[in-house]
Amino acid sequence: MVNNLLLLVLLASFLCGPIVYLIGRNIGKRVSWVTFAALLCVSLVFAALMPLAEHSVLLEEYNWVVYPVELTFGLMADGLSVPIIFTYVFVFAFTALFSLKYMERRLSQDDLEENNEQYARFYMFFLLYGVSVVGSMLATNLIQFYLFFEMALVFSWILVLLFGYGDRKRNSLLYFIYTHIGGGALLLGVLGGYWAVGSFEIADLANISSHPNAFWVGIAITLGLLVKIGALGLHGWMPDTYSESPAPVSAVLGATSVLLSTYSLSRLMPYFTEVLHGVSGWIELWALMTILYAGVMAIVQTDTKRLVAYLSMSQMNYCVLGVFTFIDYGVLGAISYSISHGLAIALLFLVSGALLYRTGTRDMTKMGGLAEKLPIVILATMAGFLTIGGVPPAVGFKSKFLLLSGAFVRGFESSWMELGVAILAGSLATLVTLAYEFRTVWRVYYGKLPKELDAVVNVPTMMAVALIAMSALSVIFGIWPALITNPIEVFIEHIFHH
Amino acid sequence: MFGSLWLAILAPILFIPIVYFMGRSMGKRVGWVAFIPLLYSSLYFASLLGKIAENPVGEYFYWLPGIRFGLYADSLSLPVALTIAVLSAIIVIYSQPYMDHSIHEQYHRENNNAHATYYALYLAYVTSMMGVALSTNLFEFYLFFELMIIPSWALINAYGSGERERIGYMYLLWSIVGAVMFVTGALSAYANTGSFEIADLALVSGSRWAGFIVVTMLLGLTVKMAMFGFHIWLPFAHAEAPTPISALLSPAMIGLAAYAIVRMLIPIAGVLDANMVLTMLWGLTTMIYGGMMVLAQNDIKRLLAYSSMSQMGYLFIGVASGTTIGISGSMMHYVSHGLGKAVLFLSAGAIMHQTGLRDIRQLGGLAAKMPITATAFILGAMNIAGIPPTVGFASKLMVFMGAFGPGIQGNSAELLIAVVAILSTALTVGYTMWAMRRIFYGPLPEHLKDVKEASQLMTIPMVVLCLLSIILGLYPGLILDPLFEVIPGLLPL
Amino acid sequence: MNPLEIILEYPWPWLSWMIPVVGAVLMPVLGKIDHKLRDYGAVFFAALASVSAASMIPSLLSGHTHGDIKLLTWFTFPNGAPLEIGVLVDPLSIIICNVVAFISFLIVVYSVGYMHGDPNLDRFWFFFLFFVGNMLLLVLSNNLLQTLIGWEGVGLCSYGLIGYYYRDAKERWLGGPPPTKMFPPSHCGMKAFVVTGIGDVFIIASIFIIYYFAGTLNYHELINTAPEWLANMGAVKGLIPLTAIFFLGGPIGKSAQFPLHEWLPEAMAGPTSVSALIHAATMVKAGVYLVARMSPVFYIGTYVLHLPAAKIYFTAIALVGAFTCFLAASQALVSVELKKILAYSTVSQIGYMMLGLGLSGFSEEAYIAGLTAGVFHLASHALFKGALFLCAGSVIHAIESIYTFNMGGLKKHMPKTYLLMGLATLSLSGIPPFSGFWSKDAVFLSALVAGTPLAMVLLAVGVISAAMTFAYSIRYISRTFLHEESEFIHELEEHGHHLHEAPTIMWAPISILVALFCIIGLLGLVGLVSPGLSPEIFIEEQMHHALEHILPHEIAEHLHVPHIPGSTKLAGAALSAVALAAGGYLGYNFYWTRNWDSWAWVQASETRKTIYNFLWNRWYMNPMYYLVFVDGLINLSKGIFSVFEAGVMTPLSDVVAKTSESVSGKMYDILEVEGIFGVLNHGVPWAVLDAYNRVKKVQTGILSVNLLYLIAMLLVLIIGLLIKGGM
Repeated sequence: MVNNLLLLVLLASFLCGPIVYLIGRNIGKRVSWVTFAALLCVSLVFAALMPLAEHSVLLEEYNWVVYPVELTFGLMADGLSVPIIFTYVFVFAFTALFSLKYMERRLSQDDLEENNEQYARFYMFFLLYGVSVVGSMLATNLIQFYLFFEMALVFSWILVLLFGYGDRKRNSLLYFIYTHIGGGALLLGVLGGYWAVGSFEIADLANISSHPNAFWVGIAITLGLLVKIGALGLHGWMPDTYSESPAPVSAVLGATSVLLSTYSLSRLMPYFTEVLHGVSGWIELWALMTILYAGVMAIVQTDTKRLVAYLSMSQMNYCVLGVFTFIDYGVLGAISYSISHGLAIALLFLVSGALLYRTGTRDMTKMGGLAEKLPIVILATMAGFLTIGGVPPAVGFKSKFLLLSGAFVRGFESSWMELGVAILAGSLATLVTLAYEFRTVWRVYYGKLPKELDAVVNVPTMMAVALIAMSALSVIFGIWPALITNPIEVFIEHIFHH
Repeated sequence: MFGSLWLAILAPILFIPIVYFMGRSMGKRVGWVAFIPLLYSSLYFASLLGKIAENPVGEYFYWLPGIRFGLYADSLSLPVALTIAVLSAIIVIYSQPYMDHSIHEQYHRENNNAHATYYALYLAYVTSMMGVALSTNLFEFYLFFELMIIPSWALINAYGSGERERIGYMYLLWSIVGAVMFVTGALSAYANTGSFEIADLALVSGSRWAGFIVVTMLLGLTVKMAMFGFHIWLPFAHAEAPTPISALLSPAMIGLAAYAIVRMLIPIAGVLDANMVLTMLWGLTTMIYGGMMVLAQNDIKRLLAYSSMSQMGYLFIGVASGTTIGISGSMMHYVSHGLGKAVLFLSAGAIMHQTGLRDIRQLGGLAAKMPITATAFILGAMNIAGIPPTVGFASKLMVFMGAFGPGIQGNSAELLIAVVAILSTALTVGYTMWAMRRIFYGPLPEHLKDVKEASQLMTIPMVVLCLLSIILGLYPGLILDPLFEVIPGLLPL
Repeated sequence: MNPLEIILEYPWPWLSWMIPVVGAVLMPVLGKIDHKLRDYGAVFFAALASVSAASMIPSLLSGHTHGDIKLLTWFTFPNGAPLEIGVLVDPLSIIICNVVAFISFLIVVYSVGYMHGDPNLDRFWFFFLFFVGNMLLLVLSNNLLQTLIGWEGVGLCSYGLIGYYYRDAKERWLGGPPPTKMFPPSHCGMKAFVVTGIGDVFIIASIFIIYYFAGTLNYHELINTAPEWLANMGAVKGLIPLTAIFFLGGPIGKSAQFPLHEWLPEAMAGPTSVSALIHAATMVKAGVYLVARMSPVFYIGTYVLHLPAAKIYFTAIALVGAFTCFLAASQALVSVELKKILAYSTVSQIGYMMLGLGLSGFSEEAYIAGLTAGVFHLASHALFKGALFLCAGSVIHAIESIYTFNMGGLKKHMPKTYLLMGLATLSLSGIPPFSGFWSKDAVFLSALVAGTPLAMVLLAVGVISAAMTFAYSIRYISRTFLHEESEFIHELEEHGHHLHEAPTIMWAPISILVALFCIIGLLGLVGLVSPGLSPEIFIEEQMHHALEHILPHEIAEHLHVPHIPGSTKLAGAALSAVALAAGGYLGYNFYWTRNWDSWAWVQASETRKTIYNFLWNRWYMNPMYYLVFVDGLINLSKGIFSVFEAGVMTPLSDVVAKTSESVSGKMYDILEVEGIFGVLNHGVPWAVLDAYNRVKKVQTGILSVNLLYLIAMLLVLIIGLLIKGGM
């Protein structure tokens, strides 16, 4: 096996950016095929790495900066990153496929001009966004991590700015400001970590807990990531950005939020277990509050994308809850739940896109009885909803169950508050989630079909393929979770029992 | 016989793709394809029945590291699983003419997709129910338990009558309320015992959380069981679901909760057995309340639905009594109620199918026009009312023998409850016979002059079910003796 | 031994209940082949049943009955006690199953004629034979559970047969004449089933209690171990009375005793031969049998363990019997439906049987006498009541009306029927030397033997009822056969409907019955001189045998056949005579000669009218029951349904949904739109934008804002590194 595989993959995929741009200028929208192909290859690479990650860690290090401080540019693929990256890129790939038709419609709308240039830009930024996130997930030192993180923010911001709906300037700015507040906090954390242990190597954080300021470092990093995951109070950017971006962008934004943040949390937080154990209960509570709050918000949404936005905001925070239980099953659950959630939330944004594409509206009150008309879309919706709601046979069930069992163990170990959090998260939150999910299904797909929707026909093939592929993956993971959990198990083993 | 438990319970779900895609072209005749796996499961379970008491069957594998999933068929779980398999195998045949009719009414055209989807969901539903009956692991149990909700919701939501969406939603929410209550208890149990194995649940007995765990799990299960207070979804769901599904929902699914209580909560000492008066009283209330509600119904299916609720009261009392006879009686009554209530729903469906009416006030004198249906109905009624030679006689007898168990040692409260309970069984005889009379006897109304007997695909299933209940009624030992051997092992010492 | 060998060893008890059951199942099959085959098939099966029952008589006479024969284990109770189904062949069961089988056979023969041409005979024969089979099963079974099965089966068949005319054609309705309420047959069938069902749940309850203490349900074992388990039961306060009363509940329901007697008068709705079957052979006799069967247990309780509580069993049934006896007789005095009068009379006669069985527990001496009286009256009543109903059937068959006021003067049209019914009536009213006299006399005697004050009171009630019995007997006979024909009959004849005597196949069976009770009566007469031949003595001895078989020996020893002194017998006869004289005098003047106009007599005074209405409305019990238990219950349920179920529970879900939605809607507006987050989301970006635009008027401002920001971040980073590196 090539001993610098990861570097090659990373560089190659970064190179794809300009290439896509150049091709796009000539062939226009069909460039999405190229993007799809490129991303699919990447995801396949990581799929191939999956069995490897079950027993070994792939580590590559290159000298990078020598002065003023030793920095190695390291790439690491282990049981944690490989499954996440695979899912992430997989989502990107099929979203690219989906956007073939969708962006055509989007660009043809009058607030944007349609030309090859536009397609080229879209797919370039789209691809770069994904790749930089992958980069930060592979990083072995915090600087590298932060830089990729920052790049991802910029590229995504550009996507929102150039292709968003409604008041693009405002929304993109909102997104930019909030995420950079988070970025800032993260940066502080990074630096603090450096101050504390004298190295940017993530591995070196192992002995940070001895340091007096370790607590604040941990808090800074946590806050930075909680912005990204839209914890209650730091979520201001989320609904607008998600709902006003084009469906493919919302999809990848959603996937990024949950996957990147959960990855980082579960990569970094274990080092802070001791120092943060005291507050972790409160962070759990915060997460629960977010879950319930966003759930309640979701109940009243009539706009499909806003609904999904709140839905994802609510459910993503299960991952925070899981990570901060500091219980093996809790973290394992959180990671695998982030994977399932990443799949599902992207799927649901695409679904809302498909609905918009066919019905021309995002207002659920104008829909109804579509089950007959859009069989594939309803299947995708069910797959997404079941995954997120943690209902079998979708993958979400297993993840959520593990996560909750971790939470309960934590609860019975510690105080009433943690126990209460666990119980409410297990019962009330689930109930709320499923309540609005199935109400949506009822509203959109059952009941009587409005006159003006009589003409609706099934979605175009490419969209269908994308939707089916992602639903299928969710169900496959659900029926055979070992596929993703075995590598993660290794990681959990590594951080908890050694 | 060839096969394994896993194969037996997964066979239906494995057939889903076949059934679905064949269904899109075959239409209603795909029911025969769906019949194959169900028949296989029934035969496989039946083949185990003979020697189950001596050598129970268990099949295990590790689903995740440290989490072992398994299926365990002993003389407690096998009869339940067998009942489900047999019922669903018989009802799938009945479904063909019935669903053909109702899908026509719904879409006003041939709709093969509707048929395909129906049978696909049906199979998923059956698998999940059998899984609930056989699972050995809380995680696995909860998986099937939740899986059970989705297809049944979809079936009500897409093929039901009346305001099916609203009622489907209601059914779903209540089921989830139950599920989350259950899972709260289950996870607490895990947190305290460190194991998901159902067999290890007994370890919590004595811990300070035992009460909390048992109560939450019990509440969760009783929602599914539609005990008084949690019952409001039942009459709606069971009345508006497509009749073949009602015939599965009503006896097979809600009864599973009673089975789960026996399997999981009875072994935990110090909670249920300590609060016998309360639980028995609850069962009694459900029983009488349900029975009285039956008297107030004019809709033939709501009537049956409420009677199911009241029958759940019987199961619950038997379980609550905490005696071997009572618990075995309840499990036996699960079987007999399954057979009896299924027959009742099927014949009700036949009536609706032939007359297009479901309001009892518009029916009457049908015995002459639909003799087979009438016979089936009265045999089902006898089964519910516990009249020999149907199996209902033996099971009800056992339930109440059990109910008298705790009372007899001079604790007057339990004795009183048992007495009242048994006296109120006269209510069952009353309402079944009254319904019988209002539907089948009396002069034939003008608008029913040209009603015909239902097609053979509908009558034969009923007849088969009746025969089964009579055969078991003549030889109850087949199920009772093994039960008597396994139940004492579950009782806390 | 495997079951088959057991059966073959002594097949008769098995055959006698299996044959009718098998026959019942075959009926629909034969019906498909040929109707005649089916009808005569039914006769054939019934005949076989009664033959195999009769084949047990030799063992009866030889005094060596086979006792308890266990066939196989049905299932095993958790306590390890197997429930072994089998038969109990002792004098009690042999006598009763012969009565049942033989009379059923005669009624089957009669029905072939009576039901001729009915379209649904498959159903009729099925239920009919199944009825007989279950009754025989009940009588012959060796344990309570098996008895219970037969018991329920009997109930089921009664339901099927009483409601036989389920189409509820107007002419099949009972009751009336209007304005009095009328009931359709299907209603009556249901009523019978439900009311007896109420009795059943009581007996089931007590069977459970008994099982818990005795650990078995087998009669022999129950009685043999009674000293132990009954003692334990006595330890729990108030349990024995509870058990006793609950146990009696079943018989009270099945045998139509107060307070569960109201179903029997409506049980007329079926074909008359069915009524005959229910009243004479099956159903109502089951209760009497069961009371007799279990009496040893409570006898032991009373006289061996000396538990006063156990005596309640006897006291209660005696009181119930006596009261019912009077109640029903009084109602029979005013009824206008021929069959209903006979029904009331059955209720009242069974009251005598129960009275006899009850008295058996009043004192140790009275035990055998009481049992004898009960069983003897059961047998003789079966004969004459069977005959009466069949005759009534012929009459109703002929004039197609159920009301006695539509009859009259039938003597010349149907002389045979008149003769047979007259004889049967004499036996019913206890005219010597007919069997009715001897059996009723036996009841009186047992009361005299018992001799307690309560017994005397009950005796008095019995005597009064006897008088009433004679009175109403005369009443219906004269109204049916004597005096001038009614308007109704004239109309019939004008419409060319010729009143005709019943065909042979109908009156032949009746005459056999009549012959039988005449013979028994004569035997009784002979018995005065040579006691060996008296049927009463015969049954007495048999009961003695039966008990010797069952009871533990030490108890059986000092169980002696009472020697009743001639004076007592004379007293008994005298009482009957008084009763007959009184009843006869009134009946003769009111009804036979009609010297006194009964109607005018009633109208004469308010009190009489009140009494008349009281009786006519069945002591207002029936209306009251309907008011409370039927309409009351249903309306209560409907009320609860509309108030609680539909009013509270159902809206609950909606309310929850609505509120949660509106609440979250408010939260959304407050927090997300206008509130804190709203401000952040909308305010901040605009503020920044404006601020920036004020500084610099560039259109692509936002991009550069971002670049500035990035540079800033990098600077911070580098500075940080330098500082750290510099250290």
